[in-house]
Amino acid sequence: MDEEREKLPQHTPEEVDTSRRQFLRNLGVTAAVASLLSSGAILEERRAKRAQAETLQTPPGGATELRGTVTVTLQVNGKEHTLQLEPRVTLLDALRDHLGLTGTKRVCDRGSCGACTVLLDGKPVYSCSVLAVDAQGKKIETVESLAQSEQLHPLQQAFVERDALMCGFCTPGFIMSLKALLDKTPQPTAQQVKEACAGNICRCGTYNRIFEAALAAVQSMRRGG
Amino acid sequence: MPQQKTKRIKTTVTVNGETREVEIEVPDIEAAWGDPQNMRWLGKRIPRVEGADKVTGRAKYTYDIQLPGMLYGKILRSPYPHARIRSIDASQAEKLPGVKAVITDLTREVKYVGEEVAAVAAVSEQVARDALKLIKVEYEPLPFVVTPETAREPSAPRVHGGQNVSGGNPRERGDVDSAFRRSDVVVHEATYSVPARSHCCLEPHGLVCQWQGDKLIAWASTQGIFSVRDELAGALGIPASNVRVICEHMGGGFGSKFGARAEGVICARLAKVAGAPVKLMLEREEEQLATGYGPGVTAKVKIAATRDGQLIAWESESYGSGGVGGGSGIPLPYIYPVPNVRTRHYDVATNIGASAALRAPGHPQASFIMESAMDDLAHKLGMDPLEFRLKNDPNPVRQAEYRLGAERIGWHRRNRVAGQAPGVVKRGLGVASAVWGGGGGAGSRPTVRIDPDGSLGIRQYFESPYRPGEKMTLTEYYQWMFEHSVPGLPEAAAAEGLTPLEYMRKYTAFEVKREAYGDHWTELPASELEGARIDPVTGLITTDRPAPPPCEIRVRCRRANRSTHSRPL
Repeated sequence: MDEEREKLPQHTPEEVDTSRRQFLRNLGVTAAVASLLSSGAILEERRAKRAQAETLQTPPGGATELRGTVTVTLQVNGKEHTLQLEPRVTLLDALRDHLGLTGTKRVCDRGSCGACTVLLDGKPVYSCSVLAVDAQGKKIETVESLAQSEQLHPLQQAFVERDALMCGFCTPGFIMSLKALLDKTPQPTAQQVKEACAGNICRCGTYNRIFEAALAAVQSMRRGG
Repeated sequence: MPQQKTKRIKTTVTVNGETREVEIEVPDIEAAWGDPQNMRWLGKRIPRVEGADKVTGRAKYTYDIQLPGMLYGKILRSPYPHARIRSIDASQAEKLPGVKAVITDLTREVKYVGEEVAAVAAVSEQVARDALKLIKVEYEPLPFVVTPETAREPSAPRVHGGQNVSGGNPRERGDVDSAFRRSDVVVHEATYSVPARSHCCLEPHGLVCQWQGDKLIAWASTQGIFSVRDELAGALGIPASNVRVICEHMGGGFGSKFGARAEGVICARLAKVAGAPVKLMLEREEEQLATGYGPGVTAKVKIAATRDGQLIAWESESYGSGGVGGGSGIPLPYIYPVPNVRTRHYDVATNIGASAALRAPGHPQASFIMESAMDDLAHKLGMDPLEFRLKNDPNPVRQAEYRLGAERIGWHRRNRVAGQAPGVVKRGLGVASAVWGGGGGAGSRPTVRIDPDGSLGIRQYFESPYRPGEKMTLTEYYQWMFEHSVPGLPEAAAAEGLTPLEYMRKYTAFEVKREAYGDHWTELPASELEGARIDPVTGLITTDRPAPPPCEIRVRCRRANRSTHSRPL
């Protein structure tokens, strides 16, 4: 089932090495040495970004172990933030714990529920499965960016009007997945709406209302031009 | 205005806990809801008040609470289903930079995988996780049992020392055996099983605890702020008035979030030891291991109906497991009245974390078992499953619901014989019911206004002492009380330049008199002390003489009617 989900277009930002398989591969090694290991050309590219990281050793095979903190620059919701982070800090934790952007939720912390969905250069990704260091140079959008002061985004407005939420913990993730869909496909079919939400889980069982809300938002956006 | 027609009806009236039947005069009109189009609230879409906060990410759940200097707590959990803890060495963890608190005195014996063994608080979640890995625990594994089937065997390891199986008292009505022996009945026997189900709340269990002196503020992901408050106060040995629990939004509870639970007490203790606020939110794996589930139940069922489809007898022997807890009991037979019934239910202890209430505890299990048996029996009777239920469920609301539901989902499309559709993949239509709680008992509840013109003198109790003619607010009620009926409070407040209400808001408590219990001390008569032994250390007096008769307090009450909720009358 995980394999299947990985095939879904909305959660495979192949340009960055944030596919879950790649992430897990990294993670396995990370856990073993309690630091981040990477390899090949990607490493070369990153090395410059991580000049401040303390290089402790270079094991055979060309991988480098990083420890301590690294300087990470993230472009979140149009603003640039520079943080000192351990290399193993995920984008999710950087957003929540270091930037105070707690709209993005941590639920499973293992890339299976979608509550932590943010947009990375317009593509929806599980921010729990992207390391903060790997999100550098990408445009990051979180749920906090959608409403303009008191003016809700049509998706948010539709979620409220259709009561497409109960506990609301999955809601920001669903909204970001749908935002990515509407940005790319302004007139989606009901099937496309469902597919866009395939990587998100709601425990209260509000799916039907979410699909309704998404289609209602499409209508209101068309009317609103 | 024409004289309104009236009629006399009998009803019950409850005053000060005493219920009487009275006859009253009421307008002789047909009570009705009126035109739905003209309703102000019913049938209208009312936007959820917290909707905008939740869709924008502004809503602060417990998981989102960030406090200055806040630490992150983590719990080390048992990898064994049953083990004695020989030793815990946390010295390496304590030395790890960034670790601010370590607790190792949680238990000496673990009874399930995931039970709390030790805990740490550190400057980041990552450091806290590293610290857990540095805690060395020496376990002595002990015999264990994890399935109810094996736990029921006499030779099974004992989970709590005593018998693993409890309950099993038969509940019986009618004459079950002769009902099953009747010649005009169709009998069906089968065993049905429902697995345990997880709550899987999206927001995990957890808290943020902050101490201010001897007062604790706890943000908790909970369904019951007061039960969390009381549980924390009890476990920490502090007055409940020193604990404030806050939950603005909760990411799902489903019955599993009523107490402070182990992690709550651990979080508060870590914050105390560290001298800093601590956030302790459980991880997904911990949620699965240690926060409960709806117990699985297996039932051996025998059910009988007359050939024309009237339920006549039910017998079931069921068992379920709430792990190291209990509470797997289920209401059988369910929904449908059966005249002759015998049920037995056993609770089986296993080395698994304790179960928790989950969305109508016991009911989904009962519904599955009963409705499975109903379907199978309908099949044997050659009866339509819906018709079988209509015949056996006298509830007028469900009678209407069955018909409405059948119409809406197109019950007529259903294949008369199951599995008739072509192809390998089959689709079907089914019917089943469940009930839960629900407000209201028999009859309507009128509100009687007494003394609207003030002639009985009741009005003064509701009138604001500060704004004549206006209704008193709750704040004014307390303000008046603090100003006029607490000896010493106005003076103590004035000494700090506060009003009595401000004083109480600041300190939440005021000591009127120290050791007030002394006022109620009375000397024991020598006759009661005769032959008594006095423990020289504790001062405890023990006597073999019978206890003196209880004081004369009688409570008079009577139950007026049965309803789904038990409420004091």
